[in-house]
Amino acid sequence: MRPRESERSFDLFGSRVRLLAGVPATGDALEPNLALALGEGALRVLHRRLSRFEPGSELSRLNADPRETVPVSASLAGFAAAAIESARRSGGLVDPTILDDLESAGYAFSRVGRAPADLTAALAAAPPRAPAAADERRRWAGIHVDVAAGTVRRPPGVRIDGGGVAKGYAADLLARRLSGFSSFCVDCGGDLRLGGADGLPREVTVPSPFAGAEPIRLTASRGGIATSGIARGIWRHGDGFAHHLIDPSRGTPAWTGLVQVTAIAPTATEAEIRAKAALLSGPERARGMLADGGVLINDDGDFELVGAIARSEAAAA
Amino acid sequence: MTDAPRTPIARIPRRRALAWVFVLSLGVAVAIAGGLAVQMALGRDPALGPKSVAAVAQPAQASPEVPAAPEAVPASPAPVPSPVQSTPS
Repeated sequence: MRPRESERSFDLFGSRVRLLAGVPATGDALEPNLALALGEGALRVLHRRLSRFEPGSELSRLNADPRETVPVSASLAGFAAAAIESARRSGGLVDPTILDDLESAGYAFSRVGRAPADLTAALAAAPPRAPAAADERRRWAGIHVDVAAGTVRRPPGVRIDGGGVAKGYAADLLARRLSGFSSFCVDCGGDLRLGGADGLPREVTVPSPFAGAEPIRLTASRGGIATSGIARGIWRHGDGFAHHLIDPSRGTPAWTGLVQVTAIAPTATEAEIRAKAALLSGPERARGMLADGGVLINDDGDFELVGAIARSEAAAA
Repeated sequence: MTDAPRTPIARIPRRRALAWVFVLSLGVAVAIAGGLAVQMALGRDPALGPKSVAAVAQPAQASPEVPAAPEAVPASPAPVPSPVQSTPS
């Protein structure tokens, strides 16, 4: 019987984090359990810097800073650069400057431990479906990060939200430390970064947001996989419902006809950007956002495999 | 006065003898150069005896006190990757 991967699980980023590592495959790899313990420490440090729900976090202090140019740590500079890149790559759909709208929709505090509202009821009460669009003001374009100098320059008052890419960014950072193992996986609340020296395939399941529906099973050996959806972050708001995926052009939650999108990409950060951009684009344009494949789940529960996944399924049939 | 009897070698004209000496010397030189070339082709430095030319050309090896990093040799078979779930965020 073959041994199991070393594993370490803990709660962070408002979700469950799971770290997995096989056996050392290069001379500089640490003992797996030690490497995973160090990995947990690194992620906790990153979370303390990037959480918007902790007033003392470096991100919160940056958002409250009245200066135009603010010195920041290398971690926050890299994260801010990734957030701006997410807006650029998605044409402004994954916008890191929508924090005011997010708070107006009822997401001013962490919702960890709160049960989500019923998805079917929310979909029934939601406005007519429409694709989201970019905010014409393009406030994100006014944020400039100098990673070498360790500074962020932006118009005072423009706040940066980490929700779009924080977990994928964290997964990618830690993946660099685990590349010397036969296999590894950094699972930051479902944003996955896979890899390993041996290129071993790993089964990845994507749960359906609809009760009773079968999960979708994929196989991947390396790269990023991320899923963006409204079901787990939906709540009652006023007379209706709200969720955390904001349409930047309207400043309100987006109801596009898609409830969940999984994206495959070279990195977890890129996968997270593609998944959010595809969901916000709506069913007609989402496929074009999934260059390396993915899964689309519609309001009615139907799902569609896109790209390489669809081709491999067809070949297996 | 009669001439002394001449030995056979003495009967060889001086210029022809010098030509033979030159040819023989050239042959010896060619043989030595050929031998050296063969040794070089076999990877041996004639000046250093049996030591490999390739070894001399290499940079100094790490001293025993500073061993090179060990290569990848897993102590046990690589485990099968555990299944994971991409939950929505």
